[in-house]
Order: sequence, then C-alpha cells, then structure tokens
Amino acid sequence: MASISLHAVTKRFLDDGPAVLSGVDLEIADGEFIVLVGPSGCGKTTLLRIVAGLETATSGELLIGGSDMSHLPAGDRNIAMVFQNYALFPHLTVAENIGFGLKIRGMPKAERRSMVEEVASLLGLAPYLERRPGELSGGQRQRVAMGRAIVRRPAAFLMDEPLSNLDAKLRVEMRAEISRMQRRLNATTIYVTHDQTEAMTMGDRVVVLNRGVVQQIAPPAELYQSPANAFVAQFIGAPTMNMLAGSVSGGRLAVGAADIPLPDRFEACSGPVLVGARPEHIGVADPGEGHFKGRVALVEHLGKEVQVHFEIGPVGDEDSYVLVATLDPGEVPSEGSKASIVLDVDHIYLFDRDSGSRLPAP
Amino acid sequence: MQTIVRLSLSQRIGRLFGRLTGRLFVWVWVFFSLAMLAWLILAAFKRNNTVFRNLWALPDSNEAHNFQDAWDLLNLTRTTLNSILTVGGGTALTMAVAAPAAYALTRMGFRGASPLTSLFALGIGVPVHAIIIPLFVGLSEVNLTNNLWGLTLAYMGVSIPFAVFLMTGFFRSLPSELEEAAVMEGAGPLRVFSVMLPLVRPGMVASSLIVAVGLWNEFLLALVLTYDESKRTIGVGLLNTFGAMRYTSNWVGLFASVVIMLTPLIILYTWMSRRIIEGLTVGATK
Amino acid sequence: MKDVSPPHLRHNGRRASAFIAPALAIYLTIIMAPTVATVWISFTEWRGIGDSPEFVGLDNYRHLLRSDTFWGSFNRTMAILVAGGLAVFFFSFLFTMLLREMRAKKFIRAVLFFPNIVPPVALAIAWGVLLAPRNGLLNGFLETVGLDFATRTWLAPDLIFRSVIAGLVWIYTGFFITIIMAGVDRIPKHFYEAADLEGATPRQKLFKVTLPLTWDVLSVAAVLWVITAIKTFEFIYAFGGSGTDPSISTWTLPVQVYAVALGNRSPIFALGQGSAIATVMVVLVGVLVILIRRIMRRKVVEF
Repeated sequence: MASISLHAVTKRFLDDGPAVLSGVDLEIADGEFIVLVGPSGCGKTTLLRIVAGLETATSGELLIGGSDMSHLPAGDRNIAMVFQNYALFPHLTVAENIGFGLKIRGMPKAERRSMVEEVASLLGLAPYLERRPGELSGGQRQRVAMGRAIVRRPAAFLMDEPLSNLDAKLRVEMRAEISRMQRRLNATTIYVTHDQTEAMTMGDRVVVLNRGVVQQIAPPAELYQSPANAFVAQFIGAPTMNMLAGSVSGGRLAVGAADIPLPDRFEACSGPVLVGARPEHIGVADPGEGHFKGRVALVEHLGKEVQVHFEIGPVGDEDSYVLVATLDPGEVPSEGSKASIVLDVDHIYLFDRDSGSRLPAP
Repeated sequence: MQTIVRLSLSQRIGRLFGRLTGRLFVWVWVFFSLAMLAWLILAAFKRNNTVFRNLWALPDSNEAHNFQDAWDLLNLTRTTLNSILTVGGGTALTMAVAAPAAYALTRMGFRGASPLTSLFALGIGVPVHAIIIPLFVGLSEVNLTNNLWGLTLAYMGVSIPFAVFLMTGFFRSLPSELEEAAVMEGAGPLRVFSVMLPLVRPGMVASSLIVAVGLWNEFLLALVLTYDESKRTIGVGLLNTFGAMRYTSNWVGLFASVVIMLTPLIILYTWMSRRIIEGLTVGATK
Repeated sequence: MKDVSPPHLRHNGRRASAFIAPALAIYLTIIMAPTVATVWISFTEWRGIGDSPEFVGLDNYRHLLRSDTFWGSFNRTMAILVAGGLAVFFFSFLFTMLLREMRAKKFIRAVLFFPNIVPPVALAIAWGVLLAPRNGLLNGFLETVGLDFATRTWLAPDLIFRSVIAGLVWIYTGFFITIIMAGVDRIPKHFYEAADLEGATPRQKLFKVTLPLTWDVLSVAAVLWVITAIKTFEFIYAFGGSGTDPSISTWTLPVQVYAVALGNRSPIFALGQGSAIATVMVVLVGVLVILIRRIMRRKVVEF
C-alpha cells in the first residue's frame, strides 16, 4: 500500500480551453479511504483518471508511494480501478476476469488459480468462477470487478462511482461491504461519487470539488459541522441547508423584515452576508414571537420526522422565499396555516456574500 | 394509446385501405423475388426443348443429369477449388489486416486517424475499372498474373476498404471502459487488441460473409487477371457458359450452373442472413 | 503542443502504424497506385502490353467529348444514378414505413436483400428470362391474365435500358431498405409516442421525426448509392449481351471501359481511351460524393 500526493494538478482538455481541474493539492495517507464528491462535471472523475494514468495532467505532480508517476503508463503504476459499469470482459469467465492482470504479469497458472480462488471466496464468488459476466446479477458483477482489483494487491484502489448502477437496496449492502473490505485490506482508496450519503458514510476524509477547484478536504463530520464555504454547506446535508441573503451590522443580522441579535462568535463580521441554517435548526415559535412570519406551503411526512416548507412573504411575490424545516411529527402545523418561524442562532452559519467563504474564517 | 385528434370514419377507412394496399404491394414484391428464384431452380430440372414452352409447369421428369452436364461444362471441380482458395484466402487475409487497422483507426487516438480513415473509405468509391489495367500490368511485372496468389492479393485490395469501413463501425461502438480496464491491468497494445477482438465477433462474421459473397460472385478481376482454363474461378466459368449459350442453346445446363453456384449462397444465407444484414447496418449507422 | 495524452496512448502513432501498415500497404498497392496510374495512362495512347504508351496529352478526353458513344454511356450512367436512385430511395422508404408494422418484417427484409448476394450474372439471366420477348415470364404472365395489350418487346432497343434500370432497382432496393430501416429502427419509440400524443399525422411524423433523425444514415446511404450506381457493371454487362460485348444501347461508363480497354476486340486495346473513361468515373464519384456530403452535412443529432 502506498500514499498518494497530488501537487498543483491542473487539467485542460484544450490548450486554450477552460480548466477542468485547477491547482488541486491532495495528500492521501497510506491506507486512507478518500472520497471525491461533487456535482456532475466538477472534475472528480478526471482527477481519478489522472491518478489512474488514463489521462495526463496539463501541469502538476503526481506521486504514488513517494515516486513520480506522472509519466508512467497506467499498467505500470500498480494501482487497480473499479469502473462504473464494471468493465468486465464479457467473453472471459469470472475466474479469467479476476486473474486477467495476474496472467498479463506472467504468473504461473497454478499460483494464479489459487490467488483467484482465495479472492473469490473472500467475495462470495466461489460458486460462479466458471460463469461469464452476462450470467451474473448486478451485485455479483460488482464483486467480480472488486475481485479483479483486489487480487493483484495493488498500491491503491480507484473506484469510479462503482455503486451507481445498482438498485437502492443493493447499494446500501455493497456500500458497507466495500468499507469492510477496505479496512480489512487497509488499502489506500480513492472513491468517486456524486452521492453525498456514500461520501459521508464511507470516507475517512472527503474532498468536495466544484468546477475543478477543491472546496474542502475534511472528515465527514467536520464537513457537516464546519463547512468551509456556502457551496460545501449546501452540497452536504439533506435536505439542503437554507440560504438567505442578509446583512450584519453592530452585532445584529437583518434578513428581510427580521432583525436578529447574533452570538458573540460573529462579532467581527459586518456587511452583506449569506445566512445558512440547516432544516433541523429552524423551528416553530408561539404566535407573535419568532423571527419570520410565514405560511405553511407544504408538509412532507417522512415517518420519523416531517419536512415543512414555509413560505415567507406575500404569496406569489418575487421576493418571497421558502424555508425548509425538519420537525418532529408532534409539532407539525397544518398546510396553509400561518406560522411564526424561529432560527436557532447558535447553529446558523454566515458566509461572505461575494466569495461564499465562511465568516468568521474557521 | 390515445390519439387526441379523432379521425372520421372515412379517414379511418382510407387509412385502413392504404395500409392494406401497402401490405399487398410488399407481398407482391416478396412473392416476385421468391418466384424468380423458384423458377430458376425448377428450370434447372427441366428439359431444354420444353423449358420455355410451358413456363410454370413442374419438371415432368427428373433431369438431374443437367447438373452433371453443368458440372462438366463449368469444369466445376477445378473452378470451385480455385474459387474456394481465392475467396477463402482473400477473405481471411482481408480480415486479418482490416481488423487491426480498424481497431487502430478508432481506438488508439493518434493524430492522423481521421484522415487515414477517410483515405480507406475513399477506396470504396474507386471502381474496379479504374484500377484493372495498371493492376494487370503491375502484377504481370512480378509474375503474379494468371496466378491464384495474384488474384488473392487483388481480392484483398478491393475488399480492404469496405472491411475497414465496417469494422471501424463495430470498434467505434465498443465502450472505452473495457479498453481502459485492460490498460489498468497492465495490458500492452497487442493484448488490449486481443481483448477487444472477441467483442466485435459479430462484426468479424458479418464483414467476412459480405466480403466472401462479393468475391464469390466477382468475375471481372478473375477474368482479366487469369486466363488459363486451370486458373478459372466459378464466376468466370458461369460467365463463359452464359457466353457460349448463343451457340449451344443449352439453357437448362445454364440454369443448373446457376443453381450450383447459388447453392452455397442460399445455404449460407438462410443460416446467416440476420448476421449479414445486421452487421452491414452497423457500419452505416454507427 | 505539449504531448498531454495519457501515457498508455503516448507515441501511439508509432504503435498504431504497426496495426495499420499491412492493410494500408496492400490498399495503396492494389487500389491507389493503379488509380493514379490510370489517370496517367489516360493521357497516353497505348494498345496494351508490348506497345509502349505514347503521351498524347488531352487527346483521349477531346475524343470522348466528341464521341456519341461516350455521351450515350455517360447519360445512361446518369439515368441510373438519378432515375434509378429516386426509385430505389422511394421504394426503400416506402418499404421501411410499411414493414414497420408488419410481423414478418425480418423475413421480408431478408428476402428483399437476397438479390444482393446472388451472382449478378445469375440475376441477369433471370431478368433476361423474365423479359424475353417470346416465351418470357412477364409477357407470358400478362397473356395468362388477359392483359395482352400490356405485353411489350422489353428487350427491344428502345426499352432495354429501362429494363436494365428496373432490374437494378429490384436488386438494390433490398440493400438500401436494410440501411434505411436500420436508421429508422434506431429512433426510440417514445418520439413517435410523443408525436402521437400531440396528434401528428403520418406525414408530419415522417418529416418532423423520421427524416431529421435518420439524416446521417440517409447521407451515408446517398453516398453509397452514388458509388453503386456509377460502379455497377456485372448485371448490365451480362444482361446486355451473352458474355461478349453487350449491345451498345445498354452501355454505361464501366461497360464502355470494359469494352474499349479489355473486351475481346483484339488486336486493338484502346487502353488510353478506356483509362480516360475510368478517370471520368473516378472524378464523377469524387465530385458527387463531396457534393452530397456538403449538401447533407448538418449537425449530428444525438439521441
């Protein structure tokens, strides 16, 4: 196993084209599980492919296990990749698929066979070794792809949205299985996904990318509790964090008609801001109190909790906006009723209106 | 499904009528094609003096010796062997060079792939007539005229453009992940190609069949590039039989010859028509 | 430009050339070099091996321009291209539309394609038997059903070339149905369902859905037709005459090349003349293909 370092990696597909990745710095420790997450087109797959050797960075440096890999062909980097649609060779059996890389490296047949069988039993594929990928279920194919990656004992695993072709139930199972396997092998892993649940549950650390720029690198909990900027704050967490335009002066926050005193930690802030509040930090106050007056536009029962959409401002007005709150089933107002809404000011976030970065800088 | 615009009764009858006429037309055309084939086959079993007298009569006696005559007339033992050698060899060798070329042109991402692909495609448009004179001269310079190897080489040349064109269509339709997976596992270019090749087997089969059928039916190159009786192919043999007809009037012999030449094609076609047709369309639609 | 292609693709020009070289070498030797040579020969007078070609400049072309035989062949080739082309594409589209709702579609398509794998000589023989003036299948059929007045001397000089075109249409329609049908089958059903929901008529569906979404396939088909129409030789040659020079009233450009340069008109082989006509064919194919690609070029619609 090995560490992976990226220094100032930039990628343009055209000489004068836009940067798909700009100045990415990333240090991945030996045995670490790193998740790259971001909206589609953010460059996460390109970054993975640069590490793999399927793309070359326009500039910057890539080290694996301390040595420069930028110009080594993919096959010589001793890393394995699991593709989104598995990329199993349809004309080869499961055993041949798993042993493909070993065969290329000229490993004797008997030795290869025993390594393939070992990996197959680890993944519960032993009964299927002579089948072809076409005869397997989606989950089994996924395992074969994993097996092909594991059997070579590579320095690192790269996974490109490996679960996105599975149905919801299987995805949850495989998610746990991949995490388990990764801990067991203690394998350095880079995992690309657009699914924030996968990012939060699987990664030791998560890299949030947007438009080719790293937004934040942090463990899942930190990402949630201490987002570096408005993008991360809104990207992580479901339902999405509410974001309102406001301004701060003299320790008070003005949002629309509301005038809210701020806690001490915001005392250095002033000027136009974005106010972020997670749905669980928005509540219903007694009539006549609270920060906002609104109307209950929509109530969604999710079982354990209820999501309520409050519309603030006149119905249909352009300046009206919606606040989403997660409430206990016991305290839900009826749809269409008027409500007073309160922000939990101890848990709100402020972001610079222009740059989006967190205030005060964490 | 529901159509928003309601059709009046007369419109609906009109459409029904239109559809029925259309179908009738289709079946007439199909019947016509099959009838032509059936007539040729039946005629091969008839007698020379009655074959045109009652066109649709069934053969009154089994004139199987027509086939024996035709066999001798066409010198079939020799010509069939020559055809099998040149067509089989030409097809196999064409595919052996066209498949790697098509692979490299579509999947190896080098500069110049696109103009090279066009250069090959250009060859589809070159009529045999535009090459045959210099080709004859050139081959005779190296003693390859009147020689089955020379004919095989010519067959490769005329088949390569279309084979490359079809195979690029097939290779282009493959997902790039498989290639990348092989590369990640450490496979070199030759190994990656050998992994990809089985995936285009339908294309290999279809292209081979189309090339082989075309060469089997070919006679111009064979006619010009070979001239000894012993080097004749079956296509030339049939043409000569046809040419001799105005002196011999041995029509049933001619029909028997046609049936002999057609038989392998009919067998192949009933068995493989879907592969041929579907294979052919990939090049055009991908 | 700095080479930023991935390492496994780097220097691929060199690797690829090993894959391409054999096919390219044979192709250049057998097709391209002779084509260039033919153009050169067209500027000479040459009676075949043993005679040395004599440079005569544009004489062969000047001769062609004044030759009624050449213009006859040229016009007949254009007639196949245009009239035959219209018929082939009309029938191909008609069949594609009609077959779409028929259950025996694949069987019918296979039958219609069949003439394309039959030796053209055999097709010519069959076509000749069909149209033979006495004892022909067609006239025989017309008499049997009481349509005596419709019988014709199909192989008479004024009709024979139309008979040739009809034969070519019969043969090639099966081929072009296949290609056009593949293009049409590729269109996802939901476009037609959406059009139905909007109340589109069959004509609107043809012009607003089918044609735009098969445009690239049609452009390929049109190019293939140009090539086929100008190259087609065996059927006409065999139909026009039994193995010897066919009757001059069915000559097209390739038939004339054959007759002038290679036919058994010994001892005179007019290789320069033949090459000039062959060069005209190559130029014709080239110009028409470029023209079609220009006219039909349009942004490819992805779906």
